[in-house]
This record gives sequence, structure tokens and C-alpha cells, in this order.
Amino acid sequence: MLTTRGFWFFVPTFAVLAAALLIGVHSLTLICFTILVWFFGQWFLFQLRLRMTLRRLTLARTLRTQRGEVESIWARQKAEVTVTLSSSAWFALPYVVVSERVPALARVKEGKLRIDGALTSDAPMSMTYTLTCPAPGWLRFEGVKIELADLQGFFTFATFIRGPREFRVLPALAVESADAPFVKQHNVLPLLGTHRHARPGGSSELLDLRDYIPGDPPRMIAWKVSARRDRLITKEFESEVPIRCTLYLDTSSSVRVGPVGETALCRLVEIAAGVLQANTSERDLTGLCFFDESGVHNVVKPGRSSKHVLRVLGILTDVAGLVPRTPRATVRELLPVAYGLVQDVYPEWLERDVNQFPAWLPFWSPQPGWTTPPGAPRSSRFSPAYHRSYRQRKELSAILAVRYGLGAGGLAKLLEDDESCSHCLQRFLAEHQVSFPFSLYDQDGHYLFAAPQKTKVIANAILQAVTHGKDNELFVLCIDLLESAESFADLERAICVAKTRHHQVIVICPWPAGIDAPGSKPRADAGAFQINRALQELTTTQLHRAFADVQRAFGKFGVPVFCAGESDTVDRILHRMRRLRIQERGVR
Amino acid sequence: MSSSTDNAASKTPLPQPAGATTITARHYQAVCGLALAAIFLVQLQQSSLAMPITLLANLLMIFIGTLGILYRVRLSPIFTFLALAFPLLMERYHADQLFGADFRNVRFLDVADVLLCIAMLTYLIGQYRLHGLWFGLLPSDARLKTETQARSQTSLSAAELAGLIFPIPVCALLAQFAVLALKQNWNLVELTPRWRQFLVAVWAILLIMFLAAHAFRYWRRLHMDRVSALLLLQDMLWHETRGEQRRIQRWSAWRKLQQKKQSADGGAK
Repeated sequence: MLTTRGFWFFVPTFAVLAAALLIGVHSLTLICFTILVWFFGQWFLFQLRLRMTLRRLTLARTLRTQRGEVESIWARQKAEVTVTLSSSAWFALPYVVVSERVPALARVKEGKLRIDGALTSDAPMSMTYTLTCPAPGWLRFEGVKIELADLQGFFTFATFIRGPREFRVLPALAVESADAPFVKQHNVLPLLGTHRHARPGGSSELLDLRDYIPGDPPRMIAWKVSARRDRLITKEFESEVPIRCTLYLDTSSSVRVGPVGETALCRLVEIAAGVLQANTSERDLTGLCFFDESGVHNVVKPGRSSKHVLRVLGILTDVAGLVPRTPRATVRELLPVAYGLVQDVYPEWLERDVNQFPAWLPFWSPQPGWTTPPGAPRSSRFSPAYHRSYRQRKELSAILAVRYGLGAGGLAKLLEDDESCSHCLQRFLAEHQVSFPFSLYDQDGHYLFAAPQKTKVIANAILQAVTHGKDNELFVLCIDLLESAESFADLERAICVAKTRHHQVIVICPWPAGIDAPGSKPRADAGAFQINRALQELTTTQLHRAFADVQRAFGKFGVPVFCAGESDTVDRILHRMRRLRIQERGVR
Repeated sequence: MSSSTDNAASKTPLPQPAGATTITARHYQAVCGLALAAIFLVQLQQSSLAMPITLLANLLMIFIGTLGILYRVRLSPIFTFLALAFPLLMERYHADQLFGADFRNVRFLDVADVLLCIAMLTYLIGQYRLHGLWFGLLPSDARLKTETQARSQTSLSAAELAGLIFPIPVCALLAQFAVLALKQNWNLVELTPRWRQFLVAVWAILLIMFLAAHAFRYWRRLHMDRVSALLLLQDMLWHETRGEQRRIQRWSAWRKLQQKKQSADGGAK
């Protein structure tokens, strides 16, 4: 509350007052008293303003595009954010600094994120800036940080005005893919969304002529041919069925790794949205299936209506914002990130008045070794780092216990049980879209997110789809297989079954951002340190090798494997769909 | 107000009333300069020392004060104040040594004293507001390791300059009454009058600070939001039952770890 400037103003004044009183300088005593009376008056006024005004501050936020005020935007679309802080209190605040907390997904293009000035009931403070979102997800605005001060800088107070608003960021529309050239091969094309199929059906296109079988409808008899051959001949027409495309999207933690908006999952969502949009324009059906190592979570049956498209886009948006969860994250790794978030967004919950920490506690009862999970780092009770981490854990445990309604023993539970604490901290960070650092590999160099069970899950899902499926189906498997090359057997069997039922399968490998895609020209990263460059090259080589292994494994069955990091992945999927249609025509 | 109007309002600058003066740092520099001049004149008139010594001492104060006004020196207000205080203290001290302590020195509502108080306070306020414009009003965030941002020129208003007119004389008058009350014959303990005055002043300041701080703390608790109140209650419960809770939860954590270990061992077998 009292700044260093205020402290160094008060101390010399008080010292001079003491000297003036003891030596008996009347005029100096008067001056010191005048200064102190003013100083205490300022403090009193500051506190009064604070208490009277803080509860009467309101925050309004609007997101505008060219269409006006909106509730959702497209990825990579420019949007203008206007934040208005108004006060209905009778007291005016002489100096307020309002700082915007930019969501993790947003990239600010222009405008100011910090304004200062006086805040009165008739003159609200407003700031405007422009942002874009590189990837789909949820744009979550927590609120604004406000810092209050008197005009001399003796007293300050910082708090956070919470006004959480969430705006949906839909996947960018892949217009260029939808407009890709289509080679016309027949003069009479079926209606959009229906594709000729070399099986007898009910379309108008002639497929074959055969002998009349009793029971055939009379209108199907080819009278001229019958007359020529002197026996009854029946016409058979082509079947017209729509082509279905089912996207299997891997949502396991391995594709969620990375900064918010730059994860492999975001790219997969963009690909899925592009395919969905292109298929809808062709009136083909698109279905969706989300899975991870624990099972299939959401299945959307193939559809093509606008309602279906909106529903799928909504689900894709929800999925794109997922953050990784790992049971191996240690409390010590999570604490600084979560504590920083609380300091920013919930500063009043860390005040001594409501969340007190006895400084002697780490000396008295440090966490014993028999409740510490194996592998978790341990420190001496006398180390300052341990004291800091203990204090942070106690304060965060108190907040999380109240937030998640853990009851009377919740604080102690989170303070003593590492697993529960790690779980709650990850949940808290995920709710605020904050990513945290964690190890990707264990001490033996094994990838911690490999999750080999997911191949079994997707294999079962494909088999189920094949069992219930129709003809002409395309299965697009967006699955991270780069680090689990040895566990393909189940998936290979399922793919074989699908291929024998004349379905098409494509595998899309999620690709981490910042790593060169296979076949692309390596980027010249001259600015990086030598060790970083070497590590980058090593990772790239490893991933390229793993990708080649996956390609080889699936190439045996004629299944193409594409890299999600390439820009033309959507086009390749659409090309495959076109081939599917043309292939059927080629039968004739 | 509609959102479109809000947007338009955010883009266009706020309309200034006709004839409104734009306040800049120069205005505060002028105020500080005038206050320094007033201090200098009053000091010259009041001092009982020889003219050259008074002149030198006050010129030093003026020099330090002017440096602070013209150049960005962080400690200049305190140094100016000390430069004013030191000659006064020395003057009194030597007078006491020569003529014995004078306890009858009580002047109430003396114009020169009031003027000196007003001028000194005006100078200090002006100087610290200049510091706000130069160095910023808020301390920097230690976590971000960024420089403190100075107060923007656009946040200056004529109202804040006009706001100086009323409180400064009031403070000077209140100080007169405070000193008058202090110089009363408080016969609390067997001490010399100056030590008695000193103790009364210290206790009064401490008591006022303590009472006001607790009053505001109590007010804050009265208006606490639900989550903060829950946190407070939970914290109190934890402090009361910390030992028992710790034992139960440690046992529970140990049991959980053991179960996990056993299941891992069973899986391995």
C-alpha cells in the first residue's frame, strides 16, 4: 500500500519532527506537522476512495468485426476489442492505470493495452485494440488489472476487475480448398452430393441390361431391346449414394502439447474444418469421432446440413482449446505458474487477512518422504526455495479448496497429497488457458505421451464404423503415431478390414509447430544458439525418421500418410475424395 | 449508451470544455518555483542569524530545490526539506546553548509561520507530482522486470491543480491547532517538556495510524465477497485444527501411494 517513495517521505519528516520537538524549533515543528497532517489526510482519502469505489466499478467488453458486434470470430480474422471501465461511485479516483490481460490465444496487432488517467462516474475509461487469433478455440478474457495511486505516488493499490467473457474462435474457412478445380469427366453429372455407383440402384443413369426376372416392374423393361432380342430385357440403373467422410481426431495429450493456439491439435482441427467445409459445398456427408487413449468420447454421425456444420464447428472449437494433462507433472513444476496466475487474476485471495501462512510451518512440519511420490524432487526444510514453494502451495491449496468445494479438510488434503494437488492445479490452469512446462520424455528417453492404447481404441472405432458403414466411405485418421511405431498391429488389422470393404483410408500425422515438415526446405535459423540448433536438428531428424516408418507401415496397405504440418493437407484429402468418386465411375 | 456510440467515443478524444487549460509539467514547475521563492523570502524575514549566513543557507536550499525542479533528481524534495530544516535546527540549538532553553516559544496563527508551512507543503506536493510525470506513480512489477511507466501527459487535468488550493491551507491550520495542543502542559510523566511533547506526538501518530488501519480493515471485512469470506473461515479452521488435519491427510496420502505401489507390483508380476 505504502510505496517506497511514501516511506522515504514519511521517515525523514518524522525524524525532522522528532528533532524539532526535542530541540524546540517551533516553525519547523509546524512545517512537519503540516506535512504529516497532509500525509495522513492523503492516506485516509486514498483508503476512503478505495473502499467506496472498488465495489462500484464495472467492466464492459465488446468484440467487433466489420459486421459489427459479434460473439464469435473466425481464426485469423481481425477483430477490434473495446474495454470500458466505469464507476458509479460518488468519489472519483485521481489516477488509475488499466492494463488489459490479453488471452493466450490472441495476438495483438495494434492499439494500446494500457491506459491511465482519472476515473469519475461521468467519464469512464476506455481502450480499443485490434487482435487476431492464429488458431480456433475459445478467446477467454479474464478482466483487467487496475492500479490505483494518489497523485504523488505515496500510496498504491493493485487489483483485478474480473469480467470473464468467452468468445468462440471458429476454424478459419479453407475457401481455396473448396474452390479447387474439378475435372469434369461426364457430360451428365449427377446432382451435387450424389455420386454414381456401379451397383444397381434407382438413379436415371443406365448401368446394365439383363434378362427379365418375374417381379421386375414393367416400366423397367427395355422394349426396343426386348423386341430386337425377342425376349424380355430389363434395364438396370446406377445406384446414387453420397460419399461419406469420417474424421477420426486424436485428442490425447500428445497433440495438445505446445503453446495455446500453436498445438498440433489446432492444426488438426483446422484440417477437419477445411474438409467439412469442402465436403459440405459438394454436399457430401462428413462425420466426426474424437478419441484418446481412454476411449471414444464423441461421435457425430455423418451429415451435411447447415445445422450439422455449425454443430461440428462448435465441437471442433471446444476441442481445439484443450490443454494437456499429465499425471506425471510434479507439484513443484506447476506451483510457480499457478501462483503467478493467482497473483495476476485473484490478488485479493492472497492477502494475509484471508490466506495467512505461518512462516515457521516449513521448519515445524515439512512434507515427509513417505508421502512424497517417487521421483518427485525433495528439498531441505532450511532452504529458502522450499519455504517459498511451501507458502505458495498453502495459499494455492486454500484457494483451490474453496474454488472446487473440497470441504473442510480440502486445504490440508491439497497440502499433503501431491496427486490431488497436481490434479487441481492442472484443472485450474486449464480453466484459465494457461499452459505449463512439463517433461516430454522420462529419464530413459521414453516419450511420456505415447499412449499406445489409442491405436486399439481407434481400431475398434474403425471396425464399428465398417460394420455399420455404407459404401464409398473415406476414413481420415488424424492420429499421432510418430512416437508409438511399434504398436500398429490392431490398427493395421482394422485398416485391412476397411480396405477389403472398399473403403478408403488416409492417415494424417499431427506435426509439432516449429519443426520442418518432411520434404520441406529446412529453415535457416542463424540467430539460434549452436546447442539449440543442434537439438532442433536432432528432433527434426527423429521425427522425420518416425514419419517415414509410419508411411512405410501403412504404405503396405495402400494407405497414404500425410503430414499435418504441410499446407496442402486439406487439398490432399479432398483429392482423395475426388478419386473415390472417379474410381467408381471408372468401373464402367 | 449503445455499443456503436461507445466505439465512436473511444476513437475520438474527449471534448474539452471551451477555454480549458492544458496542464503540463511546466505548470507544476512554476508552482514549485513560486513556493521556493516564498520560502526564501519568509526565511530571510524570520531568521535571527546574521544576514550573510541566512542568505547562504537559504541560497543552498534554493539551489537544491531549483535543481529538483529543472532536472530529474529523485531525492531533491527530501534534500530541499533537510536543507530548510538543518539551519533552523542549528540556529535553535546554538541559541539554547548560549541563552538556555526557551519553553515559551509558542506562536499561534503567525502569518509568517502559516505562509512557510503552506509554501513548503506546496513545494513538496508539486515536486512529487513532477516525479510522477517523470518517473511514474506506480512501483514496477518485480516479476516482469520492466521499467516503471511514467504518468501520461494526457492524464493531467486542471482539476488536480485546482485541488491544491483548498487542502494546503487547511492542513497548515490543523497543524497550528495540533502544535497548540502539544504545547499544553501535559503533566503525564516526570520528563522535560520537550521529551513530553515528543512522546505525546509519537504516541498520537502511532495511535491514529493503528486506529485508522483497523477501522479500514474492519470495513473491508464487512464488505468481503463470498469467496474471500469462505477463504477466511477455511483459514481459521485450518489454523485451529492444523495438527489433526495434517495427520489424517498424510496417512491418506501414504495409503494412496502404497496402493499405487502394490497395484504396480501386481501388474509387473
